[in-house]
Amino acid sequence: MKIWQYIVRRLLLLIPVLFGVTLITFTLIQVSGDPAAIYYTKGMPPQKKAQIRHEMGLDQPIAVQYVLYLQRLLRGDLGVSSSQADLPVTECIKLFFPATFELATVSMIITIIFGIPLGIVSAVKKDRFADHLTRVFALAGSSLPIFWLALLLQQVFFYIPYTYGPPNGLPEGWYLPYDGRYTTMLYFTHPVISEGGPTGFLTIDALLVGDYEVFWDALKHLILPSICLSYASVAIVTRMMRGSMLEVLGMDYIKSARAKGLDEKTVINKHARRNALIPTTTVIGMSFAGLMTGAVLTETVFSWPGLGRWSTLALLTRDIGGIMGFTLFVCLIVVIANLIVDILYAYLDPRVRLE
Amino acid sequence: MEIEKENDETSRAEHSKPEICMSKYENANKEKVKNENVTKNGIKKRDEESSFIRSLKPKVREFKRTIYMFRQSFLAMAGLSIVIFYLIVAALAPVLAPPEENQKDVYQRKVHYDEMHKDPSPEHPFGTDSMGCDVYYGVIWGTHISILMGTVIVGITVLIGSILGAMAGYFGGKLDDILMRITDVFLSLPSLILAMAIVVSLGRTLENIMFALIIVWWPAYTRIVRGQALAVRENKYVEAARAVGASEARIVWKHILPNCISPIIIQATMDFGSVVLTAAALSFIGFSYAGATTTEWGMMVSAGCRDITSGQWWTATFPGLAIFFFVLGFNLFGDGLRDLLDPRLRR
Repeated sequence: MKIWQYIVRRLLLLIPVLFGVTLITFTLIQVSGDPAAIYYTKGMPPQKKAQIRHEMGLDQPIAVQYVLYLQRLLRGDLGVSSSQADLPVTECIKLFFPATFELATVSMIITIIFGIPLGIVSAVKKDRFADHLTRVFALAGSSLPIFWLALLLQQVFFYIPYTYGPPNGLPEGWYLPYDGRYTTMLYFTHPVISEGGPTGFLTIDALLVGDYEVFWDALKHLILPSICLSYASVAIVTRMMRGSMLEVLGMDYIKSARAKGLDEKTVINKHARRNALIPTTTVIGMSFAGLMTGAVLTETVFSWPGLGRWSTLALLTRDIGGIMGFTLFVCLIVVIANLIVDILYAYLDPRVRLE
Repeated sequence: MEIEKENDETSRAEHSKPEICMSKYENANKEKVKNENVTKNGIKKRDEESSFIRSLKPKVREFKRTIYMFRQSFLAMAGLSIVIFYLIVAALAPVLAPPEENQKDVYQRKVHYDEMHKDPSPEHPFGTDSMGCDVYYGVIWGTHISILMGTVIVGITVLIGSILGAMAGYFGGKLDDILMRITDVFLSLPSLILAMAIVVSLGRTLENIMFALIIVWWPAYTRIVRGQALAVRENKYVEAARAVGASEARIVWKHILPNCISPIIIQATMDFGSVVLTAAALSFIGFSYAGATTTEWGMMVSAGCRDITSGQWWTATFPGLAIFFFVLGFNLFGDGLRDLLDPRLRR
């Protein structure tokens, strides 16, 4: 099978998944009560209520309502988010997505930079001190409540240096900011923040405009949330990389590479690592779902103005439109991420396509 | 390990020569069997009895070996100790943190507005929070809620997931297709986010959090058991059972499911921790101050959330530590079990 055939087949498999997800959100909206309730006023006559329900298509059979719902979704009408002053959900996503995407991208970079080398070191030094240390680090990553880690980071990097530093306060840069995307005061003096830039990434926009003050400020604000968000995925990637590296290192072609006298560095970097990376790419892609989940918790603690904080607000205020829009959007992102991973995997490991 | 291996090899050699094997066992058992016979009713037991013991022997040896291997692994033992520690704390909760007088519900801490933000002291080992609730009391009684949530959620998901999975794997066809498409949908969504959506539409209560997690979690088991069942149903003994006229339900229940048990146990142990972790995360974002007096770890961390930046580190730290070690314990224990029960990883 050619690679494009594989891609087409994978795309077709997406349809039932997306269909199922809309069915879930539709069911949840139905369960949550009368969608027209927000338009009712006190003492409204029943005829008026019935008219509103009729206008919204709520008096039709459930299957027809579902089709209407799908039609609205396909038109890009995801409803309104009551927690954001009835802003359309699509507008909310446009507003909040860049912040989350920036955080997720930085966390992804941290995951790749730290996860893969840690896994390799752990596998090469198997059962030695470095290995034990890495394994404990990775195990802790899968058990640590991410919201609690966020609080600990705030405690260690903001509260302790801020309180126990010299009496006049520490010089700028000795403690890290613990909430938001930028220092609030900068909002009024720097148009990059208030007007936004072409990419939506505050750090990149600031660089494009040449506003280094905002760049440093945004970068400092990114440090704690991205460390917090990436820890779990670093742990997963480290474990996976260690496992696949150990498997590859036991293979015959590694033995023959060693036997023909290659030095260990070449064996590991050129022969073993490349093949060990193949299963790890899958895990990195899958960890994108984990990052979206983590973003909900991290953004809540760090007051990061992204999708996650929006969803928390929606949860607390029972904003059905907002939370369902968020769920659909995250699902779409995760499904697309998995698709890219599968295609990449088929490209890296041609055996997959033969199945 | 070396000695273990040798023993194993000799035992394999024994199996290849049945006569020697039998006589050896008989010698080994002779004294024991004799003693039992005399003490019980003075009548010499029939040969069948000893052959039954003989057939048990390899199983007992296998079991001992399993225990031995488990004890060899430091991390697995550490995990088991943590799990046992939490069980003991849960059992001794009324002694460790006796409820105050006229406290109606043991899971709702009493508010003392005269004792807000007290530092850890002998009276309040983990300090008090912004409503004057004792953090130590909450952490101790939180084990009850966590273990309860873990047991209910994992228990029900395992039951639903494995029955559906065994059916999908065994019967195949249309049923399998439909079930697998459904699990595809659930598995493609991040579990916390789907659970959030369910909690929003049903209302924010602890019961609904548990319900949401059950809905989100069962497909994982269906997948695992289905894969296992696909392999198991090709075995000769399944064919034999069908040949003697066993009903489909009996085959699934008696032959397919028991042979899928080890991956289920591994996954359930690991999930016990992650279910509690996800539930804590959900109650962290879902309740904020609303559930501050409840002895649920996630809610307690969330109630202590704003105290961090004003210096009261203890309100969030101790419940968080409790979650961390709880999840870590079950993860380590599950890891150890996997090394043991998964034959591919043996030796």
